[in-house]
Amino acid sequence: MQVADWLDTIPSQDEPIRPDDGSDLSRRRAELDRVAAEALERVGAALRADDLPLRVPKSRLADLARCERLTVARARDAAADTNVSVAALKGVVLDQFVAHQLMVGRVVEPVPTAVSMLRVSGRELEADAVDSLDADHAEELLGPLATAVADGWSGLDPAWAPRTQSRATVVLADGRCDCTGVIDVELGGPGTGRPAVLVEVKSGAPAGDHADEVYLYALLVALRDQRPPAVVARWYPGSVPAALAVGPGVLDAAQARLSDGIRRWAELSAGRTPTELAGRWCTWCPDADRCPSAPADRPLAGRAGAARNVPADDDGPQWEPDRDDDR
Amino acid sequence: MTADRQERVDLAATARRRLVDSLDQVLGDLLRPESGRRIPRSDRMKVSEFDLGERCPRRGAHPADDFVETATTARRRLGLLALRRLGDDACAETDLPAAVAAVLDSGDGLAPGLADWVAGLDRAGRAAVGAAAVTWAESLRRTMGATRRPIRWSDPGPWTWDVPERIVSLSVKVDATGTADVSGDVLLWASGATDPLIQRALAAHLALVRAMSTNRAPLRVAIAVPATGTVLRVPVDRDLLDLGVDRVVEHVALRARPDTAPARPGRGCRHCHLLDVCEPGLAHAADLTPRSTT
Repeated sequence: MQVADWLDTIPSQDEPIRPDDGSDLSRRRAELDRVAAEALERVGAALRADDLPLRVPKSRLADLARCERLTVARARDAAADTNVSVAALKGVVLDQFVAHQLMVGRVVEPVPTAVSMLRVSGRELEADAVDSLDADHAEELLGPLATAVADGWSGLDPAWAPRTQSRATVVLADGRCDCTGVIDVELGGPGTGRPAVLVEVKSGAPAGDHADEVYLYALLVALRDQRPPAVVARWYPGSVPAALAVGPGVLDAAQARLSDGIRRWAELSAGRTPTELAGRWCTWCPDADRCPSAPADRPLAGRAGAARNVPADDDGPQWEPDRDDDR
Repeated sequence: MTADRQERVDLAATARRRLVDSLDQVLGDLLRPESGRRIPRSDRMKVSEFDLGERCPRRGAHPADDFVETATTARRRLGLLALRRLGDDACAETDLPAAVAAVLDSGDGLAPGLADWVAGLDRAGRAAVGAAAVTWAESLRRTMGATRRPIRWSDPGPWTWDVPERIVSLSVKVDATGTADVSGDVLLWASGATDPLIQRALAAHLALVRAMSTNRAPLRVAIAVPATGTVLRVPVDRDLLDLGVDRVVEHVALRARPDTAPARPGRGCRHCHLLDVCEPGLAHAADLTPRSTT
């Protein structure tokens, strides 16, 4: 089913969307504000100047749900990591292809299109990674993505006013803590006469924690727009979007997870010893070679930028660290 | 002239005197042109709103000169031109992607450097920058649409004011203007900065440059932050203009004597163009090891 057809199944709102009456979302914001202020108060002087504002984006929350040591290690090495994994590359290119489809139509030549869009978007690492692939492998990797996007995203009614890579940020504790989400595709919402729909574009296999990501987006957009989106969804190539109507339960879950993340990240930033929890993420953990909890026989992750012979991602791990597309 | 209007004129005059006097104090004869010599703007030290957002004085004193246009840098100017093209209907239900495409096709209103960059893009590159511009503009018009106030989207070119007797120009790009009443203008700037202190500093710079350019202080500055859905409305008073003057003087003083600018290490060090020659920055970058994992 195409996204356009799926959108037609979302009930249109019978009456104009009204801003929140101020109670529920204001209460949620105030509670998050309190949590952030108290977390910062507890760690106080142990934080370094550059730990503020305390940043708790999507990727950090996902890492915290896996392993605290992984979270600390990834935060430390984020700027220095110049490797691009196959799975990460596919994810970034898929986002670009969706933007291409929505802006100018079908992607005809996947490889040069990917390189051009990545370079124009300032993603030189990923563009170089595609360039480093041999032509057949690049086509094998990216061709199916282009086909899937054309199949899934063509025919979208412009009245949905699609926006790609749009941001929603909640700023807490007088600017000393924030959480930002970059939503792959936002559709409808105020001014369009259509319900607000958020879609997270996923290149890999469905995973349980993907739902947490869109719950977070629902909360961030609700706080930004003063009204919750109607639906959040994840789109996987070749699939019907996995959608969920946004109700109080979704917002409650996201708020609880974000609150927990703020508390823990404040403590870790202040120097608390992180706990360790082995899992498939050890494959990607920068500390795996010195972490006593990491299994010695963990598989190695495929890297697209490291060599011309990129392992097919079927041979590599399916799990991939989350990205925060801040560029 | 009404009392309110006279008050705005007086505010601008006071700020101007304070700026000139403060620069005299910190610069002496530095950055002073030879008597009677006219200095073209391209040779002047330009102080823009972007310079004032820099948290590290050393980095602020040594601006990077490796600017590369990307979708992220171009989206504001393209999106703003699209909103201008839509005119008064920009906050209504209008075809923004078509307006962005028209800007990309025609190149009308683009500064020469941006026009050349856009002209060199292939279809995929145009899709990338077009999508970024649509999202930027749509986010802004939604944020402002919620206010239901009339907006006049501005010429995206900068307002520039040359400081008298100094080789210094202040510049700012304002996204939109409106007229609240006969006493003054309301200025709008869309910001990605979520830090309240940076937002206020931005507002101060906008108000200062506008006041210097028109000899009348604007009434109010609005900083729209689409990512948070908020619009910060800052009345332009003496405190705000003083903040604008202080920030400009501080920045110009650093740029005039760049070797004395102290480093303020932080998250940006690892990406900084000065890292190789900045000891505090190097030390800080090396110190980013986790304190609790061994």
